[in-house]
Formats: sequence, C-alpha cells, structure tokens
Amino acid sequence: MSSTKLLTLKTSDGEEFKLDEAVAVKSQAIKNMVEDDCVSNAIPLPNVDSKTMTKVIEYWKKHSEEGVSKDQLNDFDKGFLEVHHSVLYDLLLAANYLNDKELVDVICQEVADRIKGKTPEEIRKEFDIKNDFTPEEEEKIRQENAWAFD
Amino acid sequence: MATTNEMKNFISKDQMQITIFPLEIIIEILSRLPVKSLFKFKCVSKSWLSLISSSHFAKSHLKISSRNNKFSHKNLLLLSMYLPHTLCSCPLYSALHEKTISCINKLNFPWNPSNIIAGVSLCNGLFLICIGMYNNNLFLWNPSTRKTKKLPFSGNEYSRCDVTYGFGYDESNDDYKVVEINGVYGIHYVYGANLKIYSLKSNSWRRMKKYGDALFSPDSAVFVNGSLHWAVAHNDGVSTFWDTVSLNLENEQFGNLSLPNYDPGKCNGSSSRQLGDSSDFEPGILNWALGKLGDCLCLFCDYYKVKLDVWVMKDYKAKGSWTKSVSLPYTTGIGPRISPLWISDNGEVLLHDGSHVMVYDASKDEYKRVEIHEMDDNGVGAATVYAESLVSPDLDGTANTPELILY
Repeated sequence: MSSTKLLTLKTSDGEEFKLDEAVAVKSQAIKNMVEDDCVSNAIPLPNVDSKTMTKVIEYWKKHSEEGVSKDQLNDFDKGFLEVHHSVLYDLLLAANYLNDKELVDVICQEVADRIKGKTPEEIRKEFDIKNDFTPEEEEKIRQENAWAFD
Repeated sequence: MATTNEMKNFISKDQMQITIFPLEIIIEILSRLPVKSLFKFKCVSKSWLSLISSSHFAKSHLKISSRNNKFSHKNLLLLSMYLPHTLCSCPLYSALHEKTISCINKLNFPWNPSNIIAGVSLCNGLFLICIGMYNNNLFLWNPSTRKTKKLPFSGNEYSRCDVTYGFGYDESNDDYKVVEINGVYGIHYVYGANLKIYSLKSNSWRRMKKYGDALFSPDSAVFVNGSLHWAVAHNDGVSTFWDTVSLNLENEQFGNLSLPNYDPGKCNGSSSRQLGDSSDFEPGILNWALGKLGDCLCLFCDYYKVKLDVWVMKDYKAKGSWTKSVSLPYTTGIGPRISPLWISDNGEVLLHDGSHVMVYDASKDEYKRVEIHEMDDNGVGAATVYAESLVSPDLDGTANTPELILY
C-alpha cells in the first residue's frame, strides 16, 4: 500500500488541518494547487474559518470512506445538513470557494428545500435584499401570477 | 448552464443586490426550486424578476431536471378516464414512495375539457397537444408556468388519423420544432409522405422533402438525443415489415435505427406489428412501440396478454447498446395495456395499465396500485412523467395564460 501524502490547510483564523491529499482533492481548488505544485507549505484558505473547515472535512471523510452504502451516505447527508441557516450558508460559501461541486450541489438543494415555501418578504430578509418595486408594481406581479401565491 | 458572464451581461452588477451570495450561487439555488416558488419570488426584487424570467435561467433550471437518477422537478401528469376530463399532477417521488398520493395539484386546461385530446408529445416540460379530430388545433402548453400558445395552421387540412407528429428541441439553433407528417400506415398504402416542419422561433411552417420509403406509425415520435424516432412500415406487396427511422432536427436528415434482438413472439413474419382489430389478437402476439424512460429511448415489446418486455438504449451513441431492462407480466387484473412511465434505480417500475397507475417490483414479482383519490371514480385514462420547466411556448409574445381558450 503506497504511503499517502498529507496536506496542511490553514484557515482564516490561523488553525491548521492535516489531511490526506486523496481526500483534500475533492476540492478542485486544492487539486489545482497540487497539480501546479505549489503546496510545499501549508495551503492558505483565507476565506474559510476553522469551524466551517471542520464541517467540510467531516463531509469529505465520510464520502471517502470505503464500504459505505448509498443509503448510509444519504442518512449522513441528512444529519449533516441539519444545521442553522447561518452555518449552512458559511458551508455553502466555503464549498464554492473550495470548488467542490458535489458539496455545493447538496447544500444548494437543502437551501432550495428550505426556502421554497417562504414568502417574498421572508426571502428578502433571508438574503438581505432590498425591495425596489413600488407597491403598484409588486401588486401587478402578484396579480399576474396569482396562482403561485395560494 | 449559461455562463456567469452571460448572466452578468444580462443583469448588471449594480442591479444584483445579493449581498450574501455571489450570482452563480443564487442561480444554483434558484435552479433547484419548483416553478411555483420561482413565480412567487418574481416579486422579491427587480433583479430577481429579470433573472427568473430570462431564457438563460430557464436553461439552467432545465439542466437540473435532466439529472436522470434524481427526482428533481419531476412530476406525474394524470388525465381522467372520461370526458369532460380532469387533469392533475403530483411529484414523481410521491407516486413511487407513497401508497396514497397526498400532494395532488388540479390543473386547468387552457382549452375546453370536453374536447378529445387526440395526441400528446412532450419535450423539456413543454407539451404539444392536438385537440379534436383534425390537424388544425395544435397547442404548445407548459403546465408548470400555465402558458399556452396555439400554433398557426399548417396549411393543409387533414383528418387526425392521416397525420402523425413529432416534437423536439433543436439545440444548435435553440429552437423547438414540430413535424407534421401526412402519410400514415392505414388501409391505403399510399407512399410519399408529405412533411411539414414548424419552428417556434419563426412561428411558421415550411415544407420538407417528401419521404417515400415507408409509411409512418400513427404514434407520435419519440424525441431523444436531438432526433425524432418513429416506427415505419414497409410493404413489398406481400407483407408488411416494420422498423424505425430517425429524423435529426438540426440537419433534417433521416437515418436508421437498429432494433435489438427481441423475442419475436407469435407473429407472422419478422418484426410485424398487428394492427388489425382485436379478434386478430392471440395471446403472445407481438406489438411493439417506441418509448422513452427518463432520457433513454426504449422499445416496449407487448406480447398480448402475456408480458411486456422493456428494452432500453442506455447509450445513444453506442447504437448496439440495447439492454433488456425488465419484463412486466400481464398477471390477472393487470391490463388491458401496460405503459411504463419510469424505472427507478432500485428496479421498481411505475406504469399505467389502462385504468390505474401501479408500481411493479421485479424482485418480488408484485404489483401495487397507487391510490389517487381524485381519480377514484373511473380511473386514470392516461399518465405521463414530465419535468417542470420554465420553457416558454412563446418566443414572440403571443402566448398567454388564458382562463379558457374558446375556439
């Protein structure tokens, strides 16, 4: 069995994580750095804090495990995503920054499932969006698409 | 998926006020929402309205639906047995996993529900519907956005029995196309089919080259991988020989498609399909039809009252890649005619048997009926799996969301 290479990742708050290269390359961003051969020291991840990195690594490790069934992975994912929306959003931003398409996909689906039943006003609050419609403009859209609001 | 650059050209950075997530993440999230939620969120802000209404976003949303092994955006459409019809939809996931479907949406027909629906084709969540017994009432309908468009008349009036249709998407030209063929296999062997093709982009019909080699099946074409596929009949004066033909929507060229080595059953001659009346039907007689499950072209071999074999072409590019996927037995109480709708990863088959929707579990050789209370009285007349989409039947502003199109 060949020896696996360990990579060191350094988060924004200065914490270091040691991880098998085979697992870390789930991140396309890290994979690119490995291929470009610039990983002699710790890989800096200034956009990810240690709390979020811990979660990401938990996901990567489970999804790299041998002998885990599809059902077991689904159950793991379900539990993994049962977090407060602020944690979820930090995870999503980290997954996007690290360029892990699979994790982005899973989290985006969870966010979509959580927001699909919300009202437009709740959406604005959730994503900090300003309503730039006049009341008349907004009413017109609601009337044109009344069926979507019942 | 539309590139972020394309989206950014469409919506300037100042307009997109999303402060938490970058644009590409917002698109990823919104692409996974059901159409109803998206329509609600049109009034969140001006930039959200622009984004959700854009055809770039519609394509992004569609890409999520075509992930074959997931239930994303997929619904089951159910038509009641008798006129006046009622129409409902429910999530495909519910149909497969719930014994009694709880989430049924009643849909409104954009046409008079007392009229006969004489043909249906489906592509990317858009339906082509033919109403009545002639070819002059063709509609494009998106049940998810509730938008409808009546097609202009093709120019030649035919009885519905004398024409066959094909409906699909030409990706290279970003255009939806309808093919109308007058030259259907029937009592009269008149070769030289007249073909007309409609382009949604130009909102007009034009003639295509005549096709003289065979007569077409009255079943609408199956659209897979950029081409329409029909069963066609060749008659050499002695007997009728059936095979299939493909029509590429980009270059409008006909091609052949080889079929798998299916069990010939009890038939007279190779690959014949019995189209006579029911007294000609002996148990075991083969009647085959092309179909589609997920994104794959299929061949349904129906051995009258015995079984239905499902062949799937898993990889369209590898033409020899037909696989016999499952065999559905006509056990007592099942029938009169099995139509497979969906095969899930674990081998369960969702199907319509002529009056009910059922799930067949091959490992247990067991059928389970899916209870649909809204359809209890007389059963389900027809069912199909479709993907919710934002594809508009309107590229020139003439589609509408009418209460009822009166014609």
